[in-house]
Amino acid sequence: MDRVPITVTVNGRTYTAAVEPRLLLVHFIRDVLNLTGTHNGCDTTSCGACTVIWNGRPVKSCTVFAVQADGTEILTVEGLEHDGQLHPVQEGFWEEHGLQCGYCTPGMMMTAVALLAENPAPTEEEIRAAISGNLCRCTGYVNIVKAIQYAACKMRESATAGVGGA
Amino acid sequence: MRIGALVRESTLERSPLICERYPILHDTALVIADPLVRNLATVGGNLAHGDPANGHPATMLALRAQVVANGPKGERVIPIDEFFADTFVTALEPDELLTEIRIPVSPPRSGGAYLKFERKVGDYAIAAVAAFLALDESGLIVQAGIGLTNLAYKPLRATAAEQVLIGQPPSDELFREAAERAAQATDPVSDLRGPADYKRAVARTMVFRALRRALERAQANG
Repeated sequence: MDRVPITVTVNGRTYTAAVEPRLLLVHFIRDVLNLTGTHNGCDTTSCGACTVIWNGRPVKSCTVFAVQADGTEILTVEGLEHDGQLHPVQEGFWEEHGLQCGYCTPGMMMTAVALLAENPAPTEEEIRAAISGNLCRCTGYVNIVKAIQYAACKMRESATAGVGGA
Repeated sequence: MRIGALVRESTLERSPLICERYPILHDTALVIADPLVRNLATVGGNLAHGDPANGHPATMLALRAQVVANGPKGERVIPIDEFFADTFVTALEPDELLTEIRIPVSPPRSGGAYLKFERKVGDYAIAAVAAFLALDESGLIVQAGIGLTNLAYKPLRATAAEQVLIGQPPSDELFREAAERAAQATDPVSDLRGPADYKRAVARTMVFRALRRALERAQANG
């Protein structure tokens, strides 16, 4: 099969590549771009470990062919931290022990980042609904919910501080 | 109303028009797979896959939708009753694409609901039911649609159950009778979601509940 040229912006950096039409986005991210923070779990769009933010919306990157991502903007877990400063969602997972084995964590965090961008003060029920497509087999979700609540608080505080300081 | 084949489930989920005017479609979109999947999954794909476990086929059967297909021989409009042929088999020719879904404008005093019984978010239905009712000015049922998800080898319309309802004043007793007829029309398989008898019993309860919800909405939509 002929390779297809694509241009994709990942974490603010533009990449061009020629890919097989059948290549999944998750494999493109991991094997072509070598961004292995995005995990490949079930490969069948069940588990959510491969969740990335695609044009602002969280999606399972094993559902998408890389060619479909041509011209789009993608955020992966590697794009969360800036200048050594953890994203509030990453900090929340650290502070609230929102992980055990860590396999689901990148996907879980990307879903959380997308949720908080849209809804800065989600209820517990809204958080649980948002992460209902991300499976965690270790934690029972309690600390994951706490981690996202921690991040929501932190982000609201810094937004308020920003306004006050301006 | 026309829905393009590439409209994503999350678009239906967030559309104020769908929420207000076609709550049965909002119900359906909300229980398909999980929120991440719904950001990519399309309404057209949910139909064209021909999977009896998918949600929209039952809803479109209840709403008497039409499917628009396009191919080298041009465009044709397929009534939804003729669309589902077998498990994963539809009326689409190998060189045709589904391009649009057409849904009749809901008459006044009408309402619909989709109820899904599932083990967990993301799983297919143990049983799910789409119900649509329209009432005349005196409150009699003049239009009824009942579609069933994952209860036979293909998406089913419960025709005998619909006929029981037409021309009658709505009541729990009537809805129980319709639910019984609908359950009799099912032919579920025993699998990891439960034995066939259990699924048929769930279907009976779900049809009753969906009819009640549809009636509430029809009466509120005077």
